[in-house]
Formats: sequence, C-alpha cells, structure tokens
Amino acid sequence: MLKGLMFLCVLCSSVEQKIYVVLNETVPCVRLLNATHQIGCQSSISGDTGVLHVLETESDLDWILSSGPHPPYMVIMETAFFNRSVMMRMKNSSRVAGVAVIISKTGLADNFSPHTTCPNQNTGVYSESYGSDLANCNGTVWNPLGNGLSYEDFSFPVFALKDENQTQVLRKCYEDHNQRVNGSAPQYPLCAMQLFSHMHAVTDTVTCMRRTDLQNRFSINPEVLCDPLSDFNVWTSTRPLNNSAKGHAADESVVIAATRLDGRSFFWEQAPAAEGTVSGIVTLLATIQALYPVTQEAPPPRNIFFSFFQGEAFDYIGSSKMVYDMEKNDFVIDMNNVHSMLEIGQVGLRSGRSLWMHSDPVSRQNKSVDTEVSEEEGKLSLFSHPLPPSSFQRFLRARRIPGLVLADHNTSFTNRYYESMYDDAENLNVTYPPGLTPDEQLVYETDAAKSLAEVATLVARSLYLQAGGEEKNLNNITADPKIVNISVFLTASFYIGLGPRVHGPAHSVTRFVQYILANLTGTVTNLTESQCQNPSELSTENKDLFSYFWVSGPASVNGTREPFCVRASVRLSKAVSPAFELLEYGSRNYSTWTESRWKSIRARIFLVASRELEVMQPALVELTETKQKNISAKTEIMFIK
Amino acid sequence: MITIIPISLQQSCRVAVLFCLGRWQQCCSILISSVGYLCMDLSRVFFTGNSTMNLERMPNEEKLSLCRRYYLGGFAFLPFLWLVNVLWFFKEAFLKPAYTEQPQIKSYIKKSALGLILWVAVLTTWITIFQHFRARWGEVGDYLSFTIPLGTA
Repeated sequence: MLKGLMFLCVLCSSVEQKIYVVLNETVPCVRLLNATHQIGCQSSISGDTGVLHVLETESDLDWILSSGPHPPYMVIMETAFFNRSVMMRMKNSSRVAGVAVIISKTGLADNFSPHTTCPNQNTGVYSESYGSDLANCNGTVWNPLGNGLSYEDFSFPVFALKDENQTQVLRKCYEDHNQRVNGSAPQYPLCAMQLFSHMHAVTDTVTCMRRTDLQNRFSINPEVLCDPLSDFNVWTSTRPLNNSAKGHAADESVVIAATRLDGRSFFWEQAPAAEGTVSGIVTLLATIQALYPVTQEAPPPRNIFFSFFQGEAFDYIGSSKMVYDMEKNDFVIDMNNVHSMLEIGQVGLRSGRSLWMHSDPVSRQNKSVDTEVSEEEGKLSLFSHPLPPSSFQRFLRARRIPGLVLADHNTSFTNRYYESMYDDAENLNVTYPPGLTPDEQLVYETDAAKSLAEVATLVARSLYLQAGGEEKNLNNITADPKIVNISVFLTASFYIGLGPRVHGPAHSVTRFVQYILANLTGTVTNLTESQCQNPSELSTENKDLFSYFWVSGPASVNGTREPFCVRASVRLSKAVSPAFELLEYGSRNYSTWTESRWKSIRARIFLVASRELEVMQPALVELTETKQKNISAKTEIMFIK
Repeated sequence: MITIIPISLQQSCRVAVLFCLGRWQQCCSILISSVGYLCMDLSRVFFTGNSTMNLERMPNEEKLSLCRRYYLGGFAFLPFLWLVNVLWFFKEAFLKPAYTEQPQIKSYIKKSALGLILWVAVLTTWITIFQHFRARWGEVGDYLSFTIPLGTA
C-alpha cells in the first residue's frame, strides 16, 4: 500500500509540474513594522492569483483598472510605470491582485527614490526642542525626489523580476494567451500568475511583540511573528582600547571617524547602495589605509576611532546603540572621551573637485564648539543649513560635540536614486574599458576610485591634524587609488537583515569589512590555530586589546593555502535598537523597526479556465456520481422485482 | 529564537486574569459540548439501564425524573442538556395524549426551551461582538484570544 501511495505521489507531483511553471528568480517586497505603522506588502495566505497583463501603455492601465473583463489582474509592470501615481492607483483599486515589476535600465526614469523626502526625520537631532525651525526638513529638503513608496502599505504582493530569461517566459505566456486581438477581449483559457508572500506580523511592532510574547508563554505551538532588525557595527582605533574595561577610559581623548554600512530599497535584501553607502565605506577604508602607518610611526596625542554603523537607514539603529552603550558606561569609551567627530556621507558624485562640509548650526551657537568646528573646517563659513541625515545627529542628541559631515551635495542629495535598486555601479559612474576580465577590473583605477582616493586623502590629513598630529607628517598621508577597490562592494547587498545567519553570526558585508580592516591594520603573528583561538593562554598576547583572526591566506601557485593568525584591534559591537533592550516597543526616541516572518515566498504561472467552468465542472461530477449511486441503490429493487 | 521576556508581578497578575478570562470562554464551550454529550450518554445508561434511547418502554415516572434531571443539570452551564431535553421530550409533552405526569414534563420543557433561547442569545451576541471588535481592542483582544490569526489584524 505504501508503494501505491508513493506511486500516487510521484504521479501527483508530475501532474503538478505539467500544470504549474515555477518562477525561481523573484524578489519579494516584505512587511516591516515600527512603533506605529506597518509598511511593505502582504498577500493572502493561499497566494494571490490574477490574470496576467503587461503594463506598457496608458491604455493598458485603463484596461487593468476599469475596462478589462477578467479581473483581478496580475500586473507585469514595465520599469517606466513603477512610480508613485501608478502604484497608488493600483493600491486603491480592487481589480489588482498583485504586481511584478520588471527591473531593468530600459525605460528607467531620470530619477527614482522610493525613500521619503526627509530621511529619519523623527529620530535625528532636530526636533521641537532643538532647532525647531530646522526640524522635519523645514530648512532643507534632503531627498526631494523621494516618492515614499517604500513606506506605503500595500495589501497585494509586489515582486521584482530581475532575470531577463524569466521575464521572457512571462511575456511569451502573455502573448500566447492573453493578448488582445483587434481590440476584443482575449478568451479563456488565460495565463495567470500566483504570488505567495503571506506575512505573519500586523499593525505595528508593539502588537507583534506582544503577540509573540503571548505565543511563547501560553501557546502549545509558539510562533515568533517578527524579529527586530539587528546586526553588528565594526570599529577599530589607532591605539588599541581595552575591550574589557567599560565606561570612561582614563586619559583617552578620541576623534571619531564614522560612516554607514547599510542601505535599503523597496524590495527585500536588495540594496546595491553604491552612492549612498559604498562611497562612504570605500573612502573610510582608504583613509584608514593611508593613516594607519603614520599613526604608528608618529602617533598623535589623541586616539582616532573608526566606526562603521549598521542599520542607519532604519532610524539609526547602529549609532543609537553605540551612543546608548556609551551613556550607560557599557562601551570601551564614553561621551566624555569624545573630542570631536568627522562623518563621511555620500561622497561619490562630486562634480569637479567640490566637497561640502556640513555642521550643526544650533550647537555652533556655543562658542567653544564653534571654534573647534572652524578649526576642523579650516575656515569660517555660513552656518544656516542643518545637518543632513547622518549618524553624527545621534551623537549630538546625547552631547553637543563639535563635528562635521562630509558630502558631495550642498542642499539636497545629488544621488537621484537614493535607497533604490538603481543606485548601482552605473549611478556611481564606475565604468571599465571593454574587454577587461573580472580580475583585471578589480585592480583597474576608475575615475570614481581616483575621486574617492582624493576625498580619503583629505579626510586622513584632517583627522591627523584634528588628533593633534604635526603638520610635517601630512605629506606622508596619501590614499592609494588601487586600494580603493570599489568593484568588490558593488555586487553586494547592504540590507541590514536580522540576527544570526546561516553562514555565520554577522552579515556578509559586516564580516567583509571586518576582515579588510584586520588586513589593513593588523599584524601577522606566528601563532598556531589553537593558540589563535585561545590567545589568553600566552603571556605575550592580550585578548583585551586585540582580536585574533585565523585566516586562510592567499592562494599560492599550486593552489594550496597557508593559513596564519592575524592580530588586530578590530571589533564588532552589537547593533540592535535600544528600544528592544528597554522593552519599549513604542519608543519615539529609538528605532523600533522589525521585519515580519513568513512561511513561504514563491511565484508560479499556469493557465486558468473561466469561472463558470470552474464552478460547473465539480457540480457536474457530483451530479453524475449521485446518479450512479441512485442507480446502484435501486438495482436491488429493479432486479429483485 | 524563542525567549521568555520577564515582566513585573503586577503585569503578570493582569495577564493571568485576562488569560483566565479568555480560557474560560473555551472552557465553557468545551464543557458545553463534551460534558453535555457525556451526561446524555451516562444518564441514558444509568436511568434506563440500557443504552438505547427508547422512551416508549419507559414508565411515566421514570420519564418525569429523567426530564427533571436534565432540566436541573442544564443549570450547571450546560445548555446542551436543555437542548437535548427539549428535542427528546417534545413529543412526549405536546403530542401524546394526556397522562398524569405530562403537565410537569410540559413545564420542564418550556423552562428548558426558555433557558436555551437565553443561552443562544447571549452566546450569539458575545461571539458577534468579539469577532467584530477583537482587532480594535488591541491588547485586551489579544489576551482574550486562544489563537490569533497570522497576518490579519
């Protein structure tokens, strides 16, 4: 009997394969929640099905929204139509079962930013009580091209089609069955698509965490509904800091150099963030590479603390956590140790050689802060602009420290694709001459690399001076464009995601930056593997000041690798919003972003028959069966009589 | 990652009370359905001595005592007993020719029917209100629920 069942199942799966064509390369839009709202997309628990229709012209839009005879429709949206007005009309219509957006460069508008016009406006430093005339982007609108699509709540699934071959399959199915012939409606059977992306969490983080809590306490089958966004910040310093001594570090005055490590877009885990994030990371890495040897030979009086903050797109998760730890004396330094701060914002699209330095006008009303900042800048300048969205704002919320934010823009972003899927290598003007292999591309000096190297040199020299170093050493500080290796970052995704992952505890980008820093600032030791993993047993090694990495080393000629132990003062610090530590899920001061959980996300296409046939066929089958039963019941009577 | 988050004693008590209130709803429904049927079966065996429901061969005094026991049993928050009472003895009370015990049986049936209608009204009202307003009640709605649907408010 088991064999029979197995045979039946094989039969049933092969029948299923004949009906459905599964689409593998799709990217969903998922639901995110914060203290008060839910954003993103939701499908019904058994998927949303609709008849395919390709949206290429205005008449297609009318067909979908009002005149088409086979609603609901599953819209295949050309790139040009993925904007706010069309998506809002879809949202308000009941005839749309879901949207699949074709992601390509053909037909892409001049600008597309699904982020808000004023990023992180409620968790920055400007509020009613601090610079109220600058709050909520009253002073400067930083992202005027933002259409806010990422922060809308859609009740149908929205998927992205990135694979050209798959899009062709969909188009073919549409052209074969669904296309209008001479203006008349297409006939059944029609090509349909079903999208599954049912999200478990609803309403807001408070509700979601409460229900998770209830489930854990009282249910037989506990289910977690959502997870807080979390990952790690990466930090290092020119002079090692004792990691086990928390709180105020005696005799340490620190200059912080910071940038962000994350990005986002409308879709899940897609965030190329070239101009938004990669430019900053690469510049800071080049700065460290340029500055580190000089600080070891001729150490400046102050320590320089380099930090890469994760989760800044979602209300400053990483920087708020670090500031919180500093205030609670739970970090290697505290706010009293901080002398000043220099942050690298978006620096990739400099037109010519201009670079803008932003400072906070409110704190500069304080004379001592003002003189520090002017010294940092090297000259006095007008200060009526507020700070752009930056991690420095979270430090200012805690203490009025002098600081600057470097950027390639003066009033609003030059990045026309801020926090979108199109903020990629092309947006950063990273182009290679044709015919280069990927390995050659890795070492090729692009114009963008040269530009970022210039910025890195400037930042490194300013940091050295700010840390009290002598001017005569400045000429030795130069960033090498070859080290400014952008291309390896341009294929990564910078979305922060959730805690522990399959391939290690931290996000791949975080790990990558950590290891690059270890490479740039660390020293090779001749410890064995077991010694490298337990260095406290050796008296010459200090686990409090350094971290030890066992790395596999470069591949040699015959393909073998010789691993070795690297000692560096690079560390990870947890980047999860303090709201989750304090259990204040409705907090207005800290980030409360969580990501919903789901069971399965998939898409498939198949042919559908008309509604009448769907209803009638089972009824017909029922009718024939009952007739048969009646006949067989009456046979006794018929034959006996 | 499942972690039990510690909460204060006061909040714990409040949660416990609301939880018990919610569980009481389920207890009622489980009691009503399962115990009701159980009593029905047991009483049939106990009172009539056999497991078939045959009122025809029962003497009238036994019918009356059975009716009374079901009527009294229904007051223990078991409206199903009243339903069974009404359905079982309806013919006896109203459609059979008169006998001595019939008026009493009639009154028991009428009172059982009244109690049943009252229960149905109360339960229907409460269920309608709960289903409609649960999402709006936020915290209280969640504590009163046994299973909360995923993905919808």
